[in-house]
Amino acid sequence: MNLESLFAPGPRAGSSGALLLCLFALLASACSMNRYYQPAGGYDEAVRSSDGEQLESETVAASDSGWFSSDAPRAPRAPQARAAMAPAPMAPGGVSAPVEQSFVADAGPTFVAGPASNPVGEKGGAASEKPRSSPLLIYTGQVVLAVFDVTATQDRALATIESFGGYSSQRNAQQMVFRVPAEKFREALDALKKLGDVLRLDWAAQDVGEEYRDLQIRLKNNLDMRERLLVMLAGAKEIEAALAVEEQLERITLEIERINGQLRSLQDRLAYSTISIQFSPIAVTQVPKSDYRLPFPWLNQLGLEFLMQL
Amino acid sequence: MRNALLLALLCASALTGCTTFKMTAPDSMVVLNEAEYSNYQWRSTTPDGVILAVKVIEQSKEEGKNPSGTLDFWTEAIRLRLRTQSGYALTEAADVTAKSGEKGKQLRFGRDDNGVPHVYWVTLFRTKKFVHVIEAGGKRDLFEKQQKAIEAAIADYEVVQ
Repeated sequence: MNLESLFAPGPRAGSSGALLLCLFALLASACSMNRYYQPAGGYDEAVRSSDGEQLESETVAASDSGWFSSDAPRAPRAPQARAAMAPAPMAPGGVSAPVEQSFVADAGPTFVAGPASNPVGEKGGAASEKPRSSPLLIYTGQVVLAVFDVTATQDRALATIESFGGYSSQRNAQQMVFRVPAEKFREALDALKKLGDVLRLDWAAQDVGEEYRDLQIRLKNNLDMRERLLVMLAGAKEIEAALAVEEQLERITLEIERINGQLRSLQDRLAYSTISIQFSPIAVTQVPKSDYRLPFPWLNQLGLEFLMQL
Repeated sequence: MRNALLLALLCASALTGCTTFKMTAPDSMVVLNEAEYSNYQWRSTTPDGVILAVKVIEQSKEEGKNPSGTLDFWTEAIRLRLRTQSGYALTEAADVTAKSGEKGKQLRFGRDDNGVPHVYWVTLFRTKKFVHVIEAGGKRDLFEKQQKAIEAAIADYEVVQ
Protein backbone atom coordinates (compact mmCIF):
# COMPACT_ATOMS: atom_id res chain seq x y z
CA MET A 1 0.00 0.00 0.00
CA ASN A 2 1.49 3.24 -1.07
CA LEU A 3 0.47 5.84 1.48
CA GLU A 4 2.06 8.65 -0.46
CA SER A 5 -0.23 8.00 -3.35
CA LEU A 6 -3.20 8.01 -1.03
CA PHE A 7 -2.32 11.37 0.45
CA ALA A 8 -1.06 12.93 -2.73
CA PRO A 9 -3.22 15.86 -3.93
CA GLY A 10 -4.69 15.72 -7.37
CA PRO A 11 -7.86 15.70 -9.41
CA ARG A 12 -9.25 12.61 -7.69
CA ALA A 13 -12.49 13.83 -6.17
CA GLY A 14 -14.45 12.05 -8.79
CA SER A 15 -12.58 8.81 -8.46
CA SER A 16 -13.10 8.85 -4.66
CA GLY A 17 -16.83 8.99 -5.10
CA ALA A 18 -16.70 6.21 -7.61
CA LEU A 19 -14.58 4.15 -5.26
CA LEU A 20 -17.06 4.58 -2.42
CA LEU A 21 -19.91 3.66 -4.73
CA CYS A 22 -17.97 0.61 -5.80
CA LEU A 23 -17.27 -0.33 -2.19
CA PHE A 24 -20.92 0.01 -1.34
CA ALA A 25 -21.83 -2.15 -4.30
CA LEU A 26 -19.26 -4.73 -3.26
CA LEU A 27 -20.64 -4.93 0.27
CA ALA A 28 -24.19 -5.12 -0.97
CA SER A 29 -23.15 -7.94 -3.22
CA ALA A 30 -21.44 -9.71 -0.31
CA CYS A 31 -24.56 -9.42 1.82
CA SER A 32 -26.57 -10.72 -1.05
CA MET A 33 -24.23 -13.71 -1.44
CA ASN A 34 -24.31 -14.48 2.24
CA ARG A 35 -28.06 -14.52 2.16
CA TYR A 36 -27.93 -16.65 -0.89
CA TYR A 37 -25.88 -19.27 0.93
CA GLN A 38 -28.07 -19.46 3.97
CA PRO A 39 -29.45 -22.96 4.45
CA ALA A 40 -32.86 -21.85 3.29
CA GLY A 41 -34.23 -21.17 -0.14
CA GLY A 42 -32.17 -21.73 -3.22
CA TYR A 43 -29.04 -22.57 -1.28
CA ASP A 44 -30.52 -25.61 0.27
CA GLU A 45 -31.06 -27.41 -2.97
CA ALA A 46 -27.74 -26.34 -4.37
CA VAL A 47 -25.79 -27.68 -1.42
CA ARG A 48 -27.73 -30.88 -1.03
CA SER A 49 -27.37 -31.64 -4.66
CA SER A 50 -24.42 -33.77 -5.56
CA ASP A 51 -24.11 -31.82 -8.77
CA GLY A 52 -21.12 -29.58 -8.37
CA GLU A 53 -21.89 -27.82 -11.65
CA GLN A 54 -25.11 -26.48 -10.29
CA LEU A 55 -23.37 -24.94 -7.32
CA GLU A 56 -20.68 -23.56 -9.54
CA SER A 57 -23.10 -21.88 -11.89
CA GLU A 58 -25.01 -20.36 -9.00
CA THR A 59 -21.80 -19.03 -7.50
CA VAL A 60 -20.69 -17.49 -10.74
CA ALA A 61 -24.09 -15.94 -11.24
CA ALA A 62 -23.78 -14.28 -7.87
CA SER A 63 -20.35 -12.97 -8.76
CA ASP A 64 -21.41 -11.73 -12.16
CA SER A 65 -24.30 -9.71 -10.95
CA GLY A 66 -22.83 -6.59 -12.48
CA TRP A 67 -21.89 -4.92 -9.22
CA PHE A 68 -18.19 -5.20 -9.77
CA SER A 69 -16.16 -3.16 -12.13
CA SER A 70 -14.48 -5.07 -14.88
CA ASP A 71 -11.12 -4.40 -13.21
CA ALA A 72 -12.05 -6.22 -10.03
CA PRO A 73 -10.60 -9.70 -9.82
CA ARG A 74 -13.20 -12.41 -10.16
CA ALA A 75 -13.49 -15.39 -7.95
CA PRO A 76 -11.76 -18.40 -9.39
CA ARG A 77 -14.54 -20.59 -10.65
CA ALA A 78 -14.62 -24.27 -11.22
CA PRO A 79 -11.88 -25.65 -8.98
CA GLN A 80 -12.87 -23.58 -6.00
CA ALA A 81 -16.55 -24.22 -6.41
CA ARG A 82 -15.87 -27.92 -6.49
CA ALA A 83 -13.57 -27.65 -3.55
CA ALA A 84 -16.44 -26.13 -1.66
CA MET A 85 -18.38 -29.31 -2.23
CA ALA A 86 -15.54 -31.56 -1.15
CA PRO A 87 -15.82 -33.47 2.12
CA ALA A 88 -14.18 -32.30 5.28
CA PRO A 89 -10.52 -31.49 4.84
CA MET A 90 -9.09 -33.94 7.28
CA ALA A 91 -5.58 -35.02 6.65
CA PRO A 92 -4.83 -38.71 7.05
CA GLY A 93 -4.36 -39.66 10.61
CA GLY A 94 -6.95 -37.22 11.81
CA VAL A 95 -4.80 -34.11 11.47
CA SER A 96 -6.76 -31.24 10.10
CA ALA A 97 -5.56 -29.60 6.96
CA PRO A 98 -5.63 -25.81 6.87
CA VAL A 99 -8.99 -24.76 5.59
CA GLU A 100 -7.79 -21.92 3.46
CA GLN A 101 -5.40 -24.25 1.77
CA SER A 102 -8.29 -26.19 0.34
CA PHE A 103 -9.38 -23.13 -1.58
CA VAL A 104 -6.03 -21.69 -2.50
CA ALA A 105 -4.57 -24.85 -3.98
CA ASP A 106 -6.54 -26.02 -6.96
CA ALA A 107 -5.41 -29.60 -6.76
CA GLY A 108 -6.01 -29.61 -3.04
CA PRO A 109 -4.38 -31.75 -0.43
CA THR A 110 -5.42 -35.32 0.16
CA PHE A 111 -8.37 -35.22 2.46
CA VAL A 112 -10.12 -37.78 4.59
CA ALA A 113 -13.74 -37.13 5.33
CA GLY A 114 -13.71 -37.74 9.04
CA PRO A 115 -15.14 -41.07 10.06
CA ALA A 116 -16.37 -41.85 6.57
CA SER A 117 -12.74 -41.68 5.41
CA ASN A 118 -13.40 -40.69 1.84
CA PRO A 119 -10.20 -39.57 0.25
CA VAL A 120 -10.64 -36.67 -2.10
CA GLY A 121 -8.34 -35.27 -4.67
CA GLU A 122 -6.20 -38.35 -4.97
CA LYS A 123 -6.86 -38.80 -8.66
CA GLY A 124 -5.90 -35.77 -10.61
CA GLY A 125 -7.01 -33.10 -8.20
CA ALA A 126 -10.26 -31.27 -7.69
CA ALA A 127 -10.84 -30.42 -11.31
CA SER A 128 -11.23 -34.04 -12.33
CA GLU A 129 -12.94 -35.43 -9.25
CA LYS A 130 -16.63 -36.14 -9.19
CA PRO A 131 -18.68 -34.15 -6.74
CA ARG A 132 -19.88 -36.27 -3.86
CA SER A 133 -22.32 -35.83 -1.02
CA SER A 134 -20.99 -38.37 1.43
CA PRO A 135 -22.11 -37.67 4.98
CA LEU A 136 -19.73 -36.16 7.48
CA LEU A 137 -20.65 -37.83 10.71
CA ILE A 138 -19.93 -36.72 14.23
CA TYR A 139 -20.35 -39.64 16.60
CA THR A 140 -21.35 -39.23 20.21
CA GLY A 141 -22.18 -41.88 22.77
CA GLN A 142 -23.51 -41.90 26.31
CA VAL A 143 -23.26 -44.89 28.59
CA VAL A 144 -24.56 -45.37 32.09
CA LEU A 145 -22.65 -48.15 33.81
CA ALA A 146 -23.46 -49.70 37.14
CA VAL A 147 -20.12 -50.59 38.61
CA PHE A 148 -18.83 -52.11 41.73
CA ASP A 149 -15.73 -50.00 42.24
CA VAL A 150 -15.94 -46.64 40.50
CA THR A 151 -12.32 -45.55 40.79
CA ALA A 152 -10.87 -48.83 39.59
CA THR A 153 -13.37 -48.98 36.73
CA GLN A 154 -12.53 -45.43 35.70
CA ASP A 155 -8.86 -46.37 35.54
CA ARG A 156 -9.71 -49.38 33.40
CA ALA A 157 -11.89 -47.23 31.15
CA LEU A 158 -9.08 -44.75 30.67
CA ALA A 159 -6.62 -47.50 29.84
CA THR A 160 -9.11 -48.93 27.36
CA ILE A 161 -9.60 -45.59 25.63
CA GLU A 162 -5.87 -44.92 25.51
CA SER A 163 -5.35 -48.27 23.84
CA PHE A 164 -7.56 -46.97 21.02
CA GLY A 165 -5.53 -43.78 20.70
CA GLY A 166 -8.04 -41.68 22.62
CA TYR A 167 -7.87 -39.61 25.75
CA SER A 168 -10.01 -38.40 28.62
CA SER A 169 -11.19 -34.82 28.43
CA GLN A 170 -13.04 -34.82 31.74
CA ARG A 171 -13.08 -36.92 34.87
CA ASN A 172 -14.89 -36.65 38.14
CA ALA A 173 -16.28 -39.07 40.68
CA GLN A 174 -19.38 -39.85 38.67
CA GLN A 175 -18.47 -39.22 35.07
CA MET A 176 -15.76 -39.42 32.47
CA VAL A 177 -15.74 -37.94 28.99
CA PHE A 178 -13.54 -39.54 26.40
CA ARG A 179 -12.39 -38.50 22.95
CA VAL A 180 -11.56 -41.37 20.68
CA PRO A 181 -10.57 -41.45 17.00
CA ALA A 182 -13.79 -41.61 15.02
CA GLU A 183 -12.85 -44.81 13.24
CA LYS A 184 -12.45 -46.52 16.62
CA PHE A 185 -15.75 -45.26 18.02
CA ARG A 186 -17.78 -48.46 17.93
CA GLU A 187 -14.86 -50.63 18.92
CA ALA A 188 -14.20 -48.40 21.93
CA LEU A 189 -17.86 -48.32 22.88
CA ASP A 190 -18.03 -52.11 22.81
CA ALA A 191 -14.94 -52.36 24.99
CA LEU A 192 -16.28 -49.84 27.50
CA LYS A 193 -19.58 -51.71 27.76
CA LYS A 194 -17.71 -54.67 29.19
CA LEU A 195 -16.47 -52.70 32.17
CA GLY A 196 -19.73 -52.90 34.08
CA ASP A 197 -23.41 -53.47 34.03
CA VAL A 198 -24.86 -51.37 31.22
CA LEU A 199 -27.96 -49.61 32.49
CA ARG A 200 -28.31 -47.35 29.48
CA LEU A 201 -26.58 -46.89 26.17
CA ASP A 202 -27.26 -44.17 23.61
CA TRP A 203 -25.26 -43.18 20.61
CA ALA A 204 -25.86 -40.89 17.70
CA ALA A 205 -24.27 -39.96 14.41
CA GLN A 206 -24.89 -36.38 13.40
CA ASP A 207 -24.40 -35.49 9.76
CA VAL A 208 -22.71 -32.09 9.57
CA GLY A 209 -22.02 -32.26 5.85
CA GLU A 210 -24.33 -29.38 5.01
CA GLU A 211 -23.04 -27.22 7.81
CA TYR A 212 -19.46 -27.97 6.77
CA ARG A 213 -20.04 -27.17 3.13
CA ASP A 214 -21.95 -24.04 4.07
CA LEU A 215 -19.00 -22.84 6.12
CA GLN A 216 -16.61 -23.62 3.31
CA ILE A 217 -18.68 -21.65 0.84
CA ARG A 218 -18.93 -18.72 3.20
CA LEU A 219 -15.20 -18.87 3.77
CA LYS A 220 -14.53 -18.87 0.07
CA ASN A 221 -16.81 -15.89 -0.49
CA ASN A 222 -15.15 -13.95 2.28
CA LEU A 223 -11.68 -14.78 0.98
CA ASP A 224 -12.71 -13.60 -2.46
CA MET A 225 -14.16 -10.49 -0.93
CA ARG A 226 -10.97 -9.79 0.98
CA GLU A 227 -8.97 -10.17 -2.18
CA ARG A 228 -11.15 -7.65 -3.99
CA LEU A 229 -10.98 -5.25 -1.09
CA LEU A 230 -7.20 -5.48 -1.08
CA VAL A 231 -7.16 -4.59 -4.76
CA MET A 232 -9.51 -1.70 -4.09
CA LEU A 233 -7.37 -0.53 -1.22
CA ALA A 234 -4.29 -0.56 -3.39
CA GLY A 235 -6.09 1.58 -5.91
CA ALA A 236 -7.67 3.99 -3.43
CA LYS A 237 -6.66 7.57 -4.07
CA GLU A 238 -8.33 9.28 -1.12
CA ILE A 239 -7.87 8.77 2.60
CA GLU A 240 -11.60 8.61 3.18
CA ALA A 241 -12.01 5.88 0.65
CA ALA A 242 -9.01 3.96 1.95
CA LEU A 243 -10.31 4.10 5.50
CA ALA A 244 -13.71 2.86 4.39
CA VAL A 245 -12.10 -0.06 2.58
CA GLU A 246 -9.89 -0.85 5.56
CA GLU A 247 -12.89 -0.89 7.83
CA GLN A 248 -14.56 -3.44 5.64
CA LEU A 249 -11.33 -5.40 5.36
CA GLU A 250 -11.20 -5.66 9.13
CA ARG A 251 -14.77 -6.86 9.27
CA ILE A 252 -14.16 -9.46 6.57
CA THR A 253 -10.97 -10.63 8.27
CA LEU A 254 -12.79 -11.15 11.54
CA GLU A 255 -15.49 -13.09 9.74
CA ILE A 256 -12.86 -15.28 8.07
CA GLU A 257 -11.27 -16.02 11.43
CA ARG A 258 -14.65 -16.85 12.93
CA ILE A 259 -15.50 -19.26 10.11
CA ASN A 260 -12.06 -20.85 10.33
CA GLY A 261 -12.66 -21.40 14.03
CA GLN A 262 -15.99 -23.06 13.34
CA LEU A 263 -14.40 -25.27 10.69
CA ARG A 264 -11.60 -26.29 13.04
CA SER A 265 -14.15 -27.16 15.71
CA LEU A 266 -16.10 -29.29 13.24
CA GLN A 267 -12.93 -31.00 12.05
CA ASP A 268 -11.98 -31.83 15.61
CA ARG A 269 -15.39 -33.30 16.33
CA LEU A 270 -15.30 -35.25 13.08
CA ALA A 271 -11.87 -36.68 13.81
CA TYR A 272 -12.54 -37.53 17.45
CA SER A 273 -15.81 -38.95 18.67
CA THR A 274 -17.04 -38.21 22.16
CA ILE A 275 -18.08 -40.89 24.62
CA SER A 276 -19.50 -39.93 28.00
CA ILE A 277 -19.72 -42.53 30.71
CA GLN A 278 -21.70 -42.07 33.87
CA PHE A 279 -20.61 -44.43 36.59
CA SER A 280 -23.32 -45.49 38.94
CA PRO A 281 -22.17 -47.29 42.06
CA ILE A 282 -24.86 -49.65 43.20
CA ALA A 283 -25.69 -49.57 46.87
CA VAL A 284 -28.30 -51.74 48.49
CA THR A 285 -30.48 -48.78 49.32
CA GLN A 286 -30.43 -47.60 45.71
CA VAL A 287 -31.51 -50.85 44.19
CA PRO A 288 -35.13 -50.69 43.17
CA LYS A 289 -37.08 -53.37 44.89
CA SER A 290 -39.06 -55.62 42.67
CA ASP A 291 -42.34 -57.07 43.83
CA TYR A 292 -42.08 -60.34 42.05
CA ARG A 293 -40.35 -63.37 43.43
CA LEU A 294 -39.99 -66.55 41.49
CA PRO A 295 -41.37 -69.51 43.40
CA PHE A 296 -38.02 -71.27 43.65
CA PRO A 297 -36.79 -71.16 47.23
CA TRP A 298 -33.19 -71.86 46.33
CA LEU A 299 -33.08 -68.72 44.18
CA ASN A 300 -33.98 -66.65 47.21
CA GLN A 301 -31.19 -68.24 49.18
CA LEU A 302 -28.46 -67.01 46.90
CA GLY A 303 -26.12 -64.33 48.12
CA LEU A 304 -23.21 -63.63 50.36
CA GLU A 305 -25.35 -63.51 53.49
CA PHE A 306 -26.19 -67.20 53.03
CA LEU A 307 -22.88 -68.27 51.59
CA MET A 308 -20.79 -66.73 54.37
CA GLN A 309 -23.00 -67.85 57.23
CA LEU A 310 -20.95 -70.66 58.68
CA MET B 1 -7.23 -83.57 49.55
CA ARG B 2 -8.63 -87.05 49.07
CA ASN B 3 -10.66 -86.64 52.22
CA ALA B 4 -12.14 -83.45 50.83
CA LEU B 5 -13.09 -85.14 47.62
CA LEU B 6 -14.61 -88.09 49.39
CA LEU B 7 -16.53 -85.82 51.66
CA ALA B 8 -17.88 -83.94 48.68
CA LEU B 9 -19.03 -87.13 47.08
CA LEU B 10 -20.59 -88.33 50.31
CA CYS B 11 -22.44 -85.10 50.88
CA ALA B 12 -23.72 -85.02 47.35
CA SER B 13 -24.80 -88.63 47.55
CA ALA B 14 -26.53 -88.25 50.85
CA LEU B 15 -28.51 -85.18 49.91
CA THR B 16 -29.49 -85.95 46.37
CA GLY B 17 -29.75 -89.65 46.56
CA CYS B 18 -27.02 -90.18 44.04
CA THR B 19 -23.61 -88.80 43.18
CA THR B 20 -24.03 -85.69 41.06
CA PHE B 21 -20.71 -83.89 41.18
CA LYS B 22 -17.07 -84.01 42.05
CA MET B 23 -15.53 -80.94 43.59
CA THR B 24 -12.04 -80.59 44.96
CA ALA B 25 -11.32 -77.88 47.49
CA PRO B 26 -8.22 -75.76 46.91
CA ASP B 27 -5.32 -76.45 49.26
CA SER B 28 -5.97 -73.17 51.00
CA MET B 29 -9.47 -74.29 52.05
CA VAL B 30 -11.02 -76.89 54.27
CA VAL B 31 -14.28 -78.62 53.49
CA LEU B 32 -17.08 -78.02 55.95
CA ASN B 33 -19.26 -80.70 57.35
CA GLU B 34 -22.62 -79.41 56.28
CA ALA B 35 -25.65 -80.06 58.42
CA GLU B 36 -28.61 -81.87 56.93
CA TYR B 37 -30.67 -78.73 56.81
CA SER B 38 -27.93 -76.77 55.09
CA ASN B 39 -28.65 -75.12 51.78
CA TYR B 40 -25.41 -76.47 50.44
CA GLN B 41 -24.33 -79.91 49.41
CA TRP B 42 -20.72 -78.93 49.69
CA ARG B 43 -18.88 -75.96 51.10
CA SER B 44 -15.30 -75.06 51.89
CA THR B 45 -13.66 -72.06 53.44
CA THR B 46 -10.31 -70.38 53.83
CA PRO B 47 -9.14 -69.35 57.31
CA ASP B 48 -10.24 -65.80 56.59
CA GLY B 49 -13.73 -66.60 55.36
CA VAL B 50 -13.57 -66.88 51.59
CA ILE B 51 -16.16 -69.50 50.73
CA LEU B 52 -16.59 -71.90 47.85
CA ALA B 53 -19.84 -73.89 47.81
CA VAL B 54 -22.00 -76.14 45.66
CA LYS B 55 -25.75 -76.55 45.49
CA VAL B 56 -27.37 -79.12 43.27
CA ILE B 57 -31.04 -78.55 42.68
CA GLU B 58 -33.02 -81.47 41.41
CA GLN B 59 -35.49 -79.98 38.99
CA SER B 60 -38.28 -82.50 39.22
CA LYS B 61 -38.54 -82.10 42.98
CA GLU B 62 -37.92 -78.39 43.34
CA GLU B 63 -39.83 -77.00 40.45
CA GLY B 64 -42.71 -79.42 40.36
CA LYS B 65 -44.68 -78.72 37.25
CA ASN B 66 -42.01 -76.66 35.58
CA PRO B 67 -38.82 -78.63 35.54
CA SER B 68 -37.58 -77.48 32.17
CA GLY B 69 -35.67 -74.26 32.85
CA THR B 70 -32.79 -73.90 30.46
CA LEU B 71 -29.34 -72.70 31.40
CA ASP B 72 -30.22 -69.26 30.01
CA PHE B 73 -33.40 -69.16 32.05
CA TRP B 74 -31.64 -69.82 35.33
CA THR B 75 -28.79 -67.50 34.45
CA GLU B 76 -31.24 -64.68 33.81
CA ALA B 77 -33.30 -65.52 36.89
CA ILE B 78 -30.21 -65.33 39.08
CA ARG B 79 -28.95 -62.19 37.40
CA LEU B 80 -32.27 -60.42 37.95
CA ARG B 81 -32.67 -61.72 41.46
CA LEU B 82 -29.28 -60.50 42.58
CA ARG B 83 -29.25 -57.25 40.64
CA THR B 84 -32.72 -55.95 41.23
CA GLN B 85 -33.52 -57.39 44.60
CA SER B 86 -30.27 -57.89 46.41
CA GLY B 87 -28.13 -54.94 45.41
CA TYR B 88 -25.41 -56.72 43.49
CA ALA B 89 -23.67 -55.22 40.49
CA LEU B 90 -22.89 -57.58 37.66
CA THR B 91 -19.28 -56.96 36.77
CA GLU B 92 -18.70 -59.78 34.33
CA ALA B 93 -20.44 -62.71 32.68
CA ALA B 94 -18.67 -65.50 30.89
CA ASP B 95 -19.18 -68.93 29.39
CA VAL B 96 -17.46 -71.72 31.29
CA THR B 97 -16.97 -75.42 30.75
CA ALA B 98 -16.86 -78.07 33.43
CA LYS B 99 -14.11 -80.63 33.44
CA SER B 100 -16.75 -83.18 32.46
CA GLY B 101 -17.60 -81.12 29.38
CA GLU B 102 -20.87 -79.39 30.34
CA LYS B 103 -21.23 -75.84 29.14
CA GLY B 104 -22.14 -73.34 31.81
CA LYS B 105 -22.36 -69.68 32.71
CA GLN B 106 -20.49 -67.71 35.28
CA LEU B 107 -21.79 -64.43 36.68
CA ARG B 108 -19.43 -62.27 38.68
CA PHE B 109 -21.01 -59.77 41.02
CA GLY B 110 -19.77 -57.09 43.34
CA ARG B 111 -21.40 -55.60 46.36
CA ASP B 112 -20.42 -52.99 48.87
CA ASP B 113 -21.43 -54.15 52.33
CA ASN B 114 -21.09 -51.47 55.03
CA GLY B 115 -18.34 -49.84 53.02
CA VAL B 116 -16.45 -53.10 52.52
CA PRO B 117 -16.32 -54.34 48.93
CA HIS B 118 -17.24 -57.97 48.44
CA VAL B 119 -17.05 -60.34 45.50
CA TYR B 120 -19.65 -62.97 44.73
CA TRP B 121 -19.53 -65.45 41.85
CA VAL B 122 -22.26 -67.79 40.73
CA THR B 123 -21.45 -70.54 38.23
CA LEU B 124 -24.22 -72.62 36.68
CA PHE B 125 -24.29 -75.94 34.91
CA ARG B 126 -27.55 -77.42 33.67
CA THR B 127 -28.00 -81.12 33.19
CA LYS B 128 -31.09 -83.05 32.31
CA LYS B 129 -32.26 -83.40 35.91
CA PHE B 130 -30.19 -80.91 37.88
CA VAL B 131 -29.06 -77.36 38.12
CA HIS B 132 -25.56 -77.18 39.54
CA VAL B 133 -24.87 -73.92 41.32
CA ILE B 134 -21.32 -73.17 42.41
CA GLU B 135 -21.01 -70.10 44.58
CA ALA B 136 -17.85 -68.33 45.68
CA GLY B 137 -17.52 -65.16 47.66
CA GLY B 138 -15.82 -63.11 50.30
CA LYS B 139 -14.24 -59.77 51.01
CA ARG B 140 -12.71 -58.53 47.82
CA ASP B 141 -9.10 -58.18 48.96
CA LEU B 142 -9.16 -61.66 50.49
CA PHE B 143 -11.05 -63.13 47.57
CA GLU B 144 -8.56 -61.79 45.05
CA LYS B 145 -5.78 -63.70 46.79
CA GLN B 146 -7.78 -66.90 46.29
CA GLN B 147 -9.09 -66.10 42.84
CA LYS B 148 -6.76 -68.33 40.85
CA ALA B 149 -7.34 -71.27 43.19
CA ILE B 150 -11.10 -70.79 43.00
CA GLU B 151 -11.01 -70.53 39.22
CA ALA B 152 -8.99 -73.73 39.10
CA ALA B 153 -11.41 -75.51 41.42
CA ILE B 154 -14.39 -74.48 39.28
CA ALA B 155 -12.60 -75.52 36.10
CA ASP B 156 -12.00 -78.88 37.76
CA TYR B 157 -15.67 -79.33 38.65
CA GLU B 158 -17.15 -82.54 37.31
CA VAL B 159 -20.79 -83.32 36.76
CA VAL B 160 -21.48 -86.98 37.45
CA GLN B 161 -24.41 -88.25 35.43
